[in-house]
Parts: sequence; structure tokens; C-alpha cells
Amino acid sequence: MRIRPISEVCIACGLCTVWCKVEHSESPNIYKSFRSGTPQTMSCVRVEQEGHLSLAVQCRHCDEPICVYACITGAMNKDRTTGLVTVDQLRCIGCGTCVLMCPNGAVHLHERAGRVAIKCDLCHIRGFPSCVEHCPNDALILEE
Amino acid sequence: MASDHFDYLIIGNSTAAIGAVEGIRSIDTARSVAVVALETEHTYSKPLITYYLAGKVDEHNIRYRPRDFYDKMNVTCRLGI
Repeated sequence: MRIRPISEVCIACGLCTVWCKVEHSESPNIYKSFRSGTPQTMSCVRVEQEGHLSLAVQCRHCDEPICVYACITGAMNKDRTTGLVTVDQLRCIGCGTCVLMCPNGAVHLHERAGRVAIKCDLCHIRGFPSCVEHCPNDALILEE
Repeated sequence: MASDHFDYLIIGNSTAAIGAVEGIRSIDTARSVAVVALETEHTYSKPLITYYLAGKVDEHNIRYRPRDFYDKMNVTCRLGI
């Protein structure tokens, strides 16, 4: 299961980054979420734009997860049942190997949270990715 | 020990061994796998030794895989031999 961006209809509004941040913040309130939390959370999705082309980039939850293979602590893990690639931030030491290895640039270091890796978790606690649900142009699709 | 028979015998218990165990189990969950190693410790991350010495990771987090890794993978583990 992964999120597929559709560049043809993406208008780079950035709402996916907003809702990602809201979902992973301490407050579900969109106004409060940007002020709440110590440290403030980061968005796991990034909007790439060049000329008229734009698309949202997040973890592809690869079948061959190079970030998992490269992780020196075992913090990065792929669940072979669900296909979800997750990071255990309690184990992560912020070495950045996964950031370097990810071919999509979908892993980031959250400097303000003690320098740990942060990435898309498909909102598995919520049940459905918030960015997909809130994309106003259907430019993000959850696919098997 | 001498009478034991295993379909796969992995010598060593570090990153390559863990990769071998996971690789084998991804395509073969039936046949027996054994890991033998000189060291007595559960598999741990070599690069984290410096972090451990500096006190940045504890004894639990230096382990490369969860404590029940070998059980979940149905692997016979003979350490310290």
C-alpha cells in the first residue's frame, strides 16, 4: 500500500503538507497544531515544483526498502504483513543514513525533536492518510 | 549438538547473518535454520559501539533486532561456541 501522486492534477497548494502536520501534531485542531507541541512536528510530505509540473512526494514504502537495509540501528523497519515502512524514533540515533539512501528523498531528519528520522507512516493510527483525504484536487491516491 | 541437523547453517551473528536469516525466511519458512557464533551477545549494531560507550544509546537499543527475533524467525541460535 502506498500513496501515488498525480502530477497532472496537482496544483501545488500544499494542503497535503498542512494536513500531514496536523495529523502528526499534538492537537487535531488545525489552528492550534502549528503552535502546539514541543517541539513542533514536521510534515512527512514535500511538494516538488518546477515550472508547471508539481507533485507531492512521500515515502513509497518500497518492496525493497533500502532505508531499512541501510539503517545501522534497526530503527527502520518494514512490516512484511502490512507493507508499511516505519521508524522507531526511540531507537533512531539520527545518523542520517536512511536520508542519504532513500531514492525518493522521502525521509527527513527532525532536528528539533532530538534529530531523529521522520517519514510517512500512511497515518496507520488514523486508518487513512490525511493528505489523501484532504487533497482538494484528488492528486493523491492510496493504491495497493 | 553433534547429532543436530540443520538445513541452513549460518556462521556469525552480525548484520550479514541477520540479513541471511531474513532473506531465507522471506522465501522459505519451513526448513530449519541455525546461527552459530563465537560471541555470546544478542546481535548488536557494530557502529553503535561508539554511541554505547558515549552513553548515547543503552544496552537495549544497541541491539540490531528485537530480543525475540530468533524465536519469531524460528531460528536455532547457538551463541558462545
